[in-house]
Amino acid sequence: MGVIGGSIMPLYDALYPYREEIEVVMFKHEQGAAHAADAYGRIARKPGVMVATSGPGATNLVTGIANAYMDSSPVMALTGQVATEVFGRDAFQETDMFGVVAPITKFVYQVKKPEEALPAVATAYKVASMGRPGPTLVDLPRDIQVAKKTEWKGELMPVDFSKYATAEPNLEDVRKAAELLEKAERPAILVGGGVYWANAWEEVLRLAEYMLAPVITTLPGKNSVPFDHPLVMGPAGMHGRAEADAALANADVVLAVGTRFSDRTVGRFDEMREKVIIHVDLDASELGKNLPTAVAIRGDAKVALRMLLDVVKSVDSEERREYLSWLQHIRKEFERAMKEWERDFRGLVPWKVLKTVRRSVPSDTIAVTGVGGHQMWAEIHWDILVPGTFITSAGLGTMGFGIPAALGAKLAARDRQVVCIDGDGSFQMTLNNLSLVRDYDLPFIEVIFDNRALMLVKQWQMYLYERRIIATEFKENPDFAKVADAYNIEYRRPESYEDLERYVEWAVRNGEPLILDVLLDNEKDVVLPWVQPGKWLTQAILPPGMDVSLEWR
Amino acid sequence: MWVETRLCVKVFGGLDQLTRVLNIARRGKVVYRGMEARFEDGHAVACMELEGKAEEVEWVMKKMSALPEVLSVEPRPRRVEFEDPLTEVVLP
Ligand SMILES: Cc1ncc(C[n+]2csc(CCOP(=O)(O)OP(=O)(O)O)c2C)c(N)n1
Ligand SMILES: [Mg+2]
Repeated sequence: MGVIGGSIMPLYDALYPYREEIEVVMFKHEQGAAHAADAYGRIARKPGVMVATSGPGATNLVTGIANAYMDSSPVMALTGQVATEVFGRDAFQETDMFGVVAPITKFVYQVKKPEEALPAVATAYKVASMGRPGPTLVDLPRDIQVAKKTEWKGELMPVDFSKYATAEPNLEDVRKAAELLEKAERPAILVGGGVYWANAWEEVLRLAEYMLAPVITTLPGKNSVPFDHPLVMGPAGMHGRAEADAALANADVVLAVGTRFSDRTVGRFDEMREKVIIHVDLDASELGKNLPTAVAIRGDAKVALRMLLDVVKSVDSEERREYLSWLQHIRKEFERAMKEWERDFRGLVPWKVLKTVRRSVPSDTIAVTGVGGHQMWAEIHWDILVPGTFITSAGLGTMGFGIPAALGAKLAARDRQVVCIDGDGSFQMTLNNLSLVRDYDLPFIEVIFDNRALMLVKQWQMYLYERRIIATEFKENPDFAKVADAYNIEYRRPESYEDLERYVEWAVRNGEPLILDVLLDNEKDVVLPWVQPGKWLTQAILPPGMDVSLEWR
Repeated sequence: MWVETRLCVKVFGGLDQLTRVLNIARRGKVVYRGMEARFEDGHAVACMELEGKAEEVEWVMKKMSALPEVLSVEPRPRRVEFEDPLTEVVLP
């Protein structure tokens, strides 16, 4: 996936004889290739590969690399570079890519001798998906690419691979964790993206049932567990579900699995510090990084949870049942309030749009999102039925992630439906890659939440900047119907949920791409619940008419 | 807990790989008092004297250890630990 150019021509040329075996996908912008490789990596569970020329081609990848770094996604970048003899002379299209990406890659290597090229690429590919996944980059000067072939017997760079060997969790720690969970009054399991990579959702659910403990997720962790289990409360945090915010806020013992405790999830660290925290993570550098832990378990989530299930005693107490029914009560209240709030809106309502689309697509549909209010609506209301079907830019929050990620997801799973839940702002950042839909037969359904605004930022201006609205309202959007037409994609603007359902079903049935332009009220499209910056989870602003406290007793 | 320590970090390769280590060092909320590096046999060893809160020093060491190019991170000689900083230190 990439865009060709002078400094990377020899590499592309070397692909020529293999073009049947290795699919070469031409993007319209390198950022698109990078996000597509990212989504491909998340779905295929092996690195997506992005390729770009030196200078602007390589720097166009940077946002995508940073995104993959923040979301621990397996990707490898190969960048062309000017010849070694002109290094440092500001030759045409010379950029010090090593310097640029050094802090945002899991591994990076600039090849300076021909014999290093193959070991470097093989190492970068391997490192990208070993242990906690992440982006890698190999910078390939032109003279190296054209150098005579060197013999290669599979050697790798002398990196320390043992770091990625999954450590066997320490049994003593697991026992301690079990004891804390048994003694807890209101335990909770906080699930991050690591649970998806470890394939550990069944263990999470079993432990939850064993302990009568609610399961809360982070935004990337939404991808890790199915939502249709009664103990899964859904995502907590800045824009989480009310019952999830309550479950995390009131927990006395938190078992956190495969998460880095982002500020987006926990809101405020002071209150979190008062909790007893058991942290399971593959990456030793995450343990204790953001919060002190009572027990830190380094290891694979699935292995650790299985060990925990072996030693922990099941708890079924009246107190825990009572607490769970309180959380269920909050969920019911939340849903009731959302129903009532619908009446305030003119036209279509964002969360009902999501529910309608969800109903009309198969359960294993892959949903990807842009970044903004629409993404937060999806965080709260798009129901994950099959783990591994929600791809979003969580850590970096990259507008424009949606379209290329949809293409990358489709490349990894051509037999599955892909839906992109996008904002009109996000859509316009990377729509240039829409031509790949027809070029490579990658149909997906693009749902644009069209509020003629950078709404999530406008929301902050409305509530935190005394309505000083600046640089968040579009004067007018371009004619998206014509955009769709230019790329030979069907376009519809649904007026009702029935319309919406009919259009989506048509696209699914026919395997056709579709752009749905959903007009939303840009005064009302305010995402709630909302834990404002600096506030604690129980202080979330709830939807109007929802009159419950998120504080237990 | 305030910690003063000397860390020696060994990486394969040369300046490029050392740059990666320094990128982590830059982001640690600790104070560096000295640093020196030697390059030999395809390795670089950088030793640095630093001080800071125990958990911040820990952060630096763990983050450095997580880099694939880092072969070892050793505190040398023994760490000196105080309840409080002896002198007022302004963190970056
Ligand atoms: C590349 C990039 N630039 C700026 C931002 C800051 N930002 C966060 S959300 C947002 C608004 C997104 O607008 P849109 O895609 O229309 O979604 P909406 O909030 O309207 O649903 C902006 C500008 C960002 N996250 N990413
Ligand atoms: Mg918008």
